Amino acid sequence: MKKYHIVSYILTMILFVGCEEIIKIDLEGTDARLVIEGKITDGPGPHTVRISRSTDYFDPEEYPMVSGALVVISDDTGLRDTLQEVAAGIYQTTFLTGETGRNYTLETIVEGEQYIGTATMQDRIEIDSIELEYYPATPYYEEGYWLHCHFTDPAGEGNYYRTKVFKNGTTDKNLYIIDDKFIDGNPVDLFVWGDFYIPNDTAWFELWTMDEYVYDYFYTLANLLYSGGDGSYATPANPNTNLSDGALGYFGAFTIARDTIIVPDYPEQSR
Amino acid sequence: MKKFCILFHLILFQATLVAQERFTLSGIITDAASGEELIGATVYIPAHGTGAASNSYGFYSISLPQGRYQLDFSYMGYEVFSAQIILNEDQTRNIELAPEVSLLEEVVVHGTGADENIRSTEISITKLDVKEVKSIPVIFGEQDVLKTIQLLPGVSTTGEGGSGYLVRGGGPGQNLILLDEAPVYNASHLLGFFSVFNSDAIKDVKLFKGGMPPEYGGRLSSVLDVKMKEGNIHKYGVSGGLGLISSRLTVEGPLKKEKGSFILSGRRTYADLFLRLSKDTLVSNNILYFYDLNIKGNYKLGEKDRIYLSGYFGRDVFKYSDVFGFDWGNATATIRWNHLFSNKLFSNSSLIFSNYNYVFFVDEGGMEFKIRSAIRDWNLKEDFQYFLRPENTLRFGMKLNYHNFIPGVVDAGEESGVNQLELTEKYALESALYLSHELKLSDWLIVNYGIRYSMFHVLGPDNVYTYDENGNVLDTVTYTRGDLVKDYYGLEPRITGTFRISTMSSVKASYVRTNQYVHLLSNTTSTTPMDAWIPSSKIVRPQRGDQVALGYFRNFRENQWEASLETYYKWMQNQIDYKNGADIYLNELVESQLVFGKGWSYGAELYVKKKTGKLHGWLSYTLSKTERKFDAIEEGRSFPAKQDRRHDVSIVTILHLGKRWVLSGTWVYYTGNAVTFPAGKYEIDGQTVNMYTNRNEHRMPSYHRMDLGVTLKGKERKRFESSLDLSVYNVYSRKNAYSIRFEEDEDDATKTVAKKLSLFPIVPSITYNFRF
Repeated sequence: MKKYHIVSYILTMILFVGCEEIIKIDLEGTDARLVIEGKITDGPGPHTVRISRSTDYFDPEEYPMVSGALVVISDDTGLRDTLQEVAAGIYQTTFLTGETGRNYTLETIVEGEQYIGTATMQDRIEIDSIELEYYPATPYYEEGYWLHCHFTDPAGEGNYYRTKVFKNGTTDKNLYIIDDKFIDGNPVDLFVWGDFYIPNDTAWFELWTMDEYVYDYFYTLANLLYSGGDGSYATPANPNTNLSDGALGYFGAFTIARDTIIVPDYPEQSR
Repeated sequence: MKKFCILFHLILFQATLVAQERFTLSGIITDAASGEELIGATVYIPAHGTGAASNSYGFYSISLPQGRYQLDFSYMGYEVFSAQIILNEDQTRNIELAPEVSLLEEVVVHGTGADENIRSTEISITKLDVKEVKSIPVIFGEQDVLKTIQLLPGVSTTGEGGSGYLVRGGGPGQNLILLDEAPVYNASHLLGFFSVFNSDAIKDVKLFKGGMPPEYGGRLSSVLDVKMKEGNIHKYGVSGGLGLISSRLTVEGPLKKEKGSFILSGRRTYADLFLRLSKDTLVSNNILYFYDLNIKGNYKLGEKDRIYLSGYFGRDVFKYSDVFGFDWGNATATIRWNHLFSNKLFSNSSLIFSNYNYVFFVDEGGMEFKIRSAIRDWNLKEDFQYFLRPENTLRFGMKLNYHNFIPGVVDAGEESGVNQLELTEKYALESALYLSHELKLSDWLIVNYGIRYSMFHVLGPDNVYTYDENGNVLDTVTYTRGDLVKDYYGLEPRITGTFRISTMSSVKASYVRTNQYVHLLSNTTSTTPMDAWIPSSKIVRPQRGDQVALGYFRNFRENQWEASLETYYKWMQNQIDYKNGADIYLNELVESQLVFGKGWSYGAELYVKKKTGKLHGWLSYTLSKTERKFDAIEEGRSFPAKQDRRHDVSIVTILHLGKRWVLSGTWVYYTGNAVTFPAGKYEIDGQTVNMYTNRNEHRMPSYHRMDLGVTLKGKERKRFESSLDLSVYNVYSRKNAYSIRFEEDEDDATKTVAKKLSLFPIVPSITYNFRF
């Protein structure tokens, strides 16, 4: 529903002669910044927090991981779980499990600096069904199925979703998020973007929920990733984070509903 | 206001004192061939060194002591007409000027008019010659006034091949565009590649970058005043053109001989007709076109009254099969009545309607809905011009503009899964009173001073929200019809002065204040069909601009060359930007997504023009700087505005070879706009994310491009003219950067690269034009 999706679509129609090429640009370097990616879900643990640093833009090195940090996730009942570093920069919970309605706090101390983020675990939204829609072959496309997901948005605005789909166990990197601004309280028939499916494929679908602030992070992240950050649209900026003290990244509490389907043979009439 | 009333009385008193011994010569100056009224034609009395100019309706009035005079009537590109007049009573003389046949000869332009740029109080104002616009090569051969004004100093383009323009560091929503006095809210077709102005139907174009007289108001940066043709009053004619992208057809003629005339001009693109030839139904079911229709008629009710009716209707239509579609466009209508209260007091009353709307629909897989949005204006205008004496003119009037904003309505089908949504409609009355006085104080000093008093009333029904710091609603107040929600008032002084140094040079200075009460929500430098306009409110305060300009004007070689150097400084208050990640589309609480700050721009503009001769054209150069400062952005530090561009050069040349060939060329060069490039990168969710530090601290690469055009006129025949235009856009096919993206390398995800997108390589096009 973002306007530039439509605009860029029409642009593509018109700019049949547009040409893209890789160029060399000098960018001045800048100080590395701390990046925290923390998640707690209503699924079985352990839950992971990943701490790394940024690099210069054309730096070919891998992102440096941050070891030796003190990482604690606590909930609003007073439970505190100090995370164990299982690999460089990867920290895991030891006992804490996510419950809906709970408020979680991530505290991280790196080189004497403290970074804090909080998130609330929302109600889990179940998937009513997932469904395959058959598309016959055309001169340009082979026949196949598109995936649809059906779920019911609870009444009252303020539900935020992320969807993930795995085709035969692999997922694409794209970030698919929606809110209920236009669909509040309705049964939703969600067209699942991504690849199409052929018989015997396995489609595994996940519906995540999150709070408003985590959604704002993903929304501004998606804006940055998909509007190209090329300056022809909005001025690019770092996503709105729920972490304190200038850390990049987010801390999110998610519920995850799952459903799976094995793709059947093509319908008879298609033969 | 009291001061102005006194001033007004003084002027009137002065006028009556001297009235006994003076008589008035007045009339209409028209083109002899078509009967079109000439705007800004001059009447000059060489013996007295004084004169007058015709107004927007071709009307002139000059009051002189009893006596015998030689008067020269002139207009650029027309033969000078000299008349001997014995003035011993009030007289009406309608003047017809013949188009110059020997336009191409290196003649000395005598009479006057030629040095109008030196004498007038106009600064920061450019008048476009529509004939010249037609000679300048453009992309796809679609001649376009908006692309021509981009070649003037102080005006920059919003993007490759686009018709959007920015003036002196202002934003795209700060330009007022008037078509026969009706405001046009979105002046572009096909996402900006073409403007809504079909140059076949356009008579006169004037751009005010500053120094706006008080009769104009409502936008901060500029006014583009476009006047449609009236139609030939003497005979019927048909003209048109066949181009690669579109075809045009114009029919004009008298309604009743010498009493009235009409013009009907249409244009349509036909890219979609080719799509339809495709065998692939996915392609052939797509629709993509736009059209324009200009209609105008006028009729003389008597010697003192004339009425005009004009209308514009244009629309873009885009449809992707039956899955989704999008169409948008403007409609305007203007009814005007010119009345002469006396041969010195001219009045014009206008009733104007303007509508911009878009409709967007989706009908696919359970999603079935339609989104529509509109902005409508109803205007009533009264303008008076009182010609007291030569170079002593009083202008005054009022304007009422009733706005209705429909920010968005979602119509959803029963089973669609999308909810019905209706954002609160907004109503507002924007009005103004103005008075200005142009006065020649001495042979070396002319001033034009005045004031505009503007008012803005936000009217009920309305829902007004108050927000906390985080943009959450604290309180909602509901107003009903008839309630006053909020009012704003602004005094806008305007003054320009011309100090004449010699017959060939002058220095001019101006100060203008402008208020803008309706705001375009756009954080890009260009406009899109879905851009929203919002009225001022309790939260969004009117934008205010103050501009000073100082210029040196000099003509050379008997006025064949004119040159000017202008400098300006502009302050802009209550500017609008978005919060990061702002959701402004179809958001009832859109005001919570905005941040407010200020901006300033300054620069110098050089313009050198050769007006006549086989080889003519101009050079323009702009040096400028534009910055903004917002408490909520960059921790309150000032940063370069997106439209900040240091150097901008345009060269336009037109060469006439013999009677049949015209060659033309343009070259543009500008340094890159301010832009934000990443300072680093990091990883989130398995993806590389760009990291940003300071806003707009980088620059796009420099841009340059040359376009060439050739026009071959058909052999002269009695009742038929034709020409073939060949134009080549981007002759040396430079890959100018339209945008630069920074992303993971497609071939190697461990690497990140910068990717430049360039739009148009060399684009040749051909157009055939005819007239009979």
